[in-house]
Amino acid sequence: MKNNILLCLVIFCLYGVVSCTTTTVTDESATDVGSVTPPKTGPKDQYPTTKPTVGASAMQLLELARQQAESGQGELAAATLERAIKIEPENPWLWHRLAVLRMQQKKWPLAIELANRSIALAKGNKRLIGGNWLVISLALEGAGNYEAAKRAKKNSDVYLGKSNQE
Amino acid sequence: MPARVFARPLELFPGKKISQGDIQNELQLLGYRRVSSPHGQGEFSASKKKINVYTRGYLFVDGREKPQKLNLRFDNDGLRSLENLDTGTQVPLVRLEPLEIAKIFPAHNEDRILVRLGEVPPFLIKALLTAEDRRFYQHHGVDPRGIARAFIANLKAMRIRQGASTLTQQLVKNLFLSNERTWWRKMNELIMALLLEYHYEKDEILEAYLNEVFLGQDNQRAIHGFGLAAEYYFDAPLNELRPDQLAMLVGMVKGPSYYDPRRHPKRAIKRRNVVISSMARLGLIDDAQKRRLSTAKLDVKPRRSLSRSRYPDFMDLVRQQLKKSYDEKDLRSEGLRIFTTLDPLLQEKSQSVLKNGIARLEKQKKLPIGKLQGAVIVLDIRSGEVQAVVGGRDRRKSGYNRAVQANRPIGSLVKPVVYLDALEKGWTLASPLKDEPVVWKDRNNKVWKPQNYDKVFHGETPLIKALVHSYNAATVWLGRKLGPSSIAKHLYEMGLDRPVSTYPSLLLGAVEMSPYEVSQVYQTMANDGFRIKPRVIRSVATKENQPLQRYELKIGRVIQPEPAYLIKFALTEVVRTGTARWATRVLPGLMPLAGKTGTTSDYRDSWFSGFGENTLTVVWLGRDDNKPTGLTGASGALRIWSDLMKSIPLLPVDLTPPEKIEWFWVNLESGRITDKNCPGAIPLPFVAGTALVEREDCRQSGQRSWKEKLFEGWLH
Repeated sequence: MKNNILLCLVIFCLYGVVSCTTTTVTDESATDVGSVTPPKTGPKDQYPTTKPTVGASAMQLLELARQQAESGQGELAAATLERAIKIEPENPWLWHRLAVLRMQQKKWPLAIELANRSIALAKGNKRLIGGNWLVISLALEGAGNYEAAKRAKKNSDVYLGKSNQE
Repeated sequence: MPARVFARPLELFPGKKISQGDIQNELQLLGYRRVSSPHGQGEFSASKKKINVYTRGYLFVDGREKPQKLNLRFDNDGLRSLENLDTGTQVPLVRLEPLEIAKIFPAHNEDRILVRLGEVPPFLIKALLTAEDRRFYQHHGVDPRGIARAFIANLKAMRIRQGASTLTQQLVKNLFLSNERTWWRKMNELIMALLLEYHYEKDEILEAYLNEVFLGQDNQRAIHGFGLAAEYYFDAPLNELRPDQLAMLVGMVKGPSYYDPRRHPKRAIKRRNVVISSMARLGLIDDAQKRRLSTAKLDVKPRRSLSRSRYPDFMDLVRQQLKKSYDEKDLRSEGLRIFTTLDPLLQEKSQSVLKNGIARLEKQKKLPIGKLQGAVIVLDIRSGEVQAVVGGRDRRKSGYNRAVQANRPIGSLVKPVVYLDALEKGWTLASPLKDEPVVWKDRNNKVWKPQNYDKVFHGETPLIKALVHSYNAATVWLGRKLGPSSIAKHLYEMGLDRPVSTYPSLLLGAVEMSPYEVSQVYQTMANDGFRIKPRVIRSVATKENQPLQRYELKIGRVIQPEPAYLIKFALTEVVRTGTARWATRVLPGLMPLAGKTGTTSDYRDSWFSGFGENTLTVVWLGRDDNKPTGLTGASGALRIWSDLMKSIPLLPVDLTPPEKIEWFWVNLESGRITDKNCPGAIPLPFVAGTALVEREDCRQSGQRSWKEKLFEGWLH
């Protein structure tokens, strides 16, 4: 159990730091909050791999959510993250953060579904997909489903491994 | 105290897709005053591409939003920037206070807007003490001088004509005693006033008085306290009233009905000016002020009953949800604060577009006037929040909420569920279906021969084409292979929270659903296969602002990513080239959008359920007596849907595919993979490895040109 908590914290810190610094990271294509991406239809090669960042408005809420979670106000933190999601509903990082929070609250099934939602929106961001599989793996373990947890962990390793080679 | 129900607070941030007009509308709904230059809270000014606003701030459950002077600038995409005018800094995020949309009253109709002494304008206190109790801070609850004066006056008249009640006595009378004028009651009042003064501080008594004093009657509801009176007469918070308006309220204490400013404006002005003159005599205001205040207009707002909800159709859903968790008694008496998901801007637009759209259809199509009804539901796709509910063209007339209560056959709206079932079972968008005469006997040996809308059978046709043009025979052919029970199961999983009969006619939509239920099923398709528990309430707090309950975002995948993507893509084709093509004319800059038309037997119901990336909207049209309307889904509901979409911040559907999707150019006539340059070839998504490898050369296919295709298969 201690391992779980440790891993949770590692994930939270890892992705927390990543997403909290994205406004200054230059290798990721900055997406304006609320801007409209022209829709594309057509063969696969037309689609760029998306690398989401968090805009300043949602960032303010991420920081608030972090403070709320740290001071033991888990439900307020969840409400704040949901506010951030309302601002950037397509941003898989925000869904991921909510998944991590729910995992910390031991809301296992919800954590899994939110991580799945993040994966569905991550569209090719292997690091994030791998992080979400790790959340799923930990949540499954928390729920006592050890076999499925192992498989999820394997998935996570594959994605994070690929990510490292990039 | 009644429960107070609030709309969602409007969040403002740079890049938000919201028009300047919408923000101005929101400010006006919140009772902000438009001025040339805002100096006080609750004021704003507007010019081209710019709003200056002095926000009021608000105590949310998660913290206080401070009042601030803001400069909002706009460009063609929406809100471009927010700047704090005092500090000159850019502001990343601002939350306006939420609009109060309803109150849920206790049986005895008690209501208050509690004010704290420290937040009350000092002018009000001065005016009140001048008019009602000048020695308030000197006496001990009873003013002997005043009593002596009144006693003599009453003796002379041989009956009680004059009172000498201090504020404390008035408070006691309001709180504990009847209104009768007897010596016995007067004695009780004196004793209780003395006791009150003994136990409480002067300021506590004054604050209680400010919140308790009777200041009018709104139908069954008594208006107690200056906070509620400010809202009832001026539609503004107490601290935003002008001094003359405060003086008017103070004047009303003497006789709220006699000095009612709406019914007796002259009396109200006269009484107000008495208060103002008294203040001048005591030197509390100077002569210039006296003249200015005495000549001010009353500016009382037209009466709007606060006991009736602004948005009763939405409130039906709120009450439904609240009843699951709260006692009726607690709801009505504990002063709960209920924060809902309602977007008043979308709600107002939905109401007016439906009303005007129905009237226009009646005229254009020469339908009987006043018979056609309708309903609209608007959902935020990602959060599952219900943003607007319209239950009829004019709710006030009938009180019948068609959006929630009217269960009607859904017609072709069921088809995407049938096709989704097929896609999940390994069919592709190009799989050939047989659109041919079909005869089916159900369990009761009832023979069923479904027809196509155009009375033509189209032979072998690719799956996507059958859906895009809503072919009935092909759908039944497919549905027979899948089994109606499989479709019923899907409906249930996707959001219809009740079982449905599995007759074959289910395949063509002989299932009765309310627009609200339809929105739940379509929400799952619009949300990439994730079902979200619908929410109309975000949270409930106590009257002290302590969180009681939160309705969290609950989500679950019910359709795998690939079939979810394929059906979403197919629904964009319905709008691009199929039965919902009308929308492309009205909303050319917003494509792709997705949706499905629905029409039932003899044109009794006209449906359209459609979505962009952020918002799903269901429109239903029909008659309460279930007679034919003469409208198809495309010629009725789709028109209203398109008009509504024009006026809201809708985003195009994002068709970025999930990982295991690959694309091929397909000849829609044959369903075979073909060359990009062949006429009529369109790119279709396939689950990796499922596309047929057999290719065809367009020179052999003998197909028609894209122009010929464009005009085929019109409405139904």
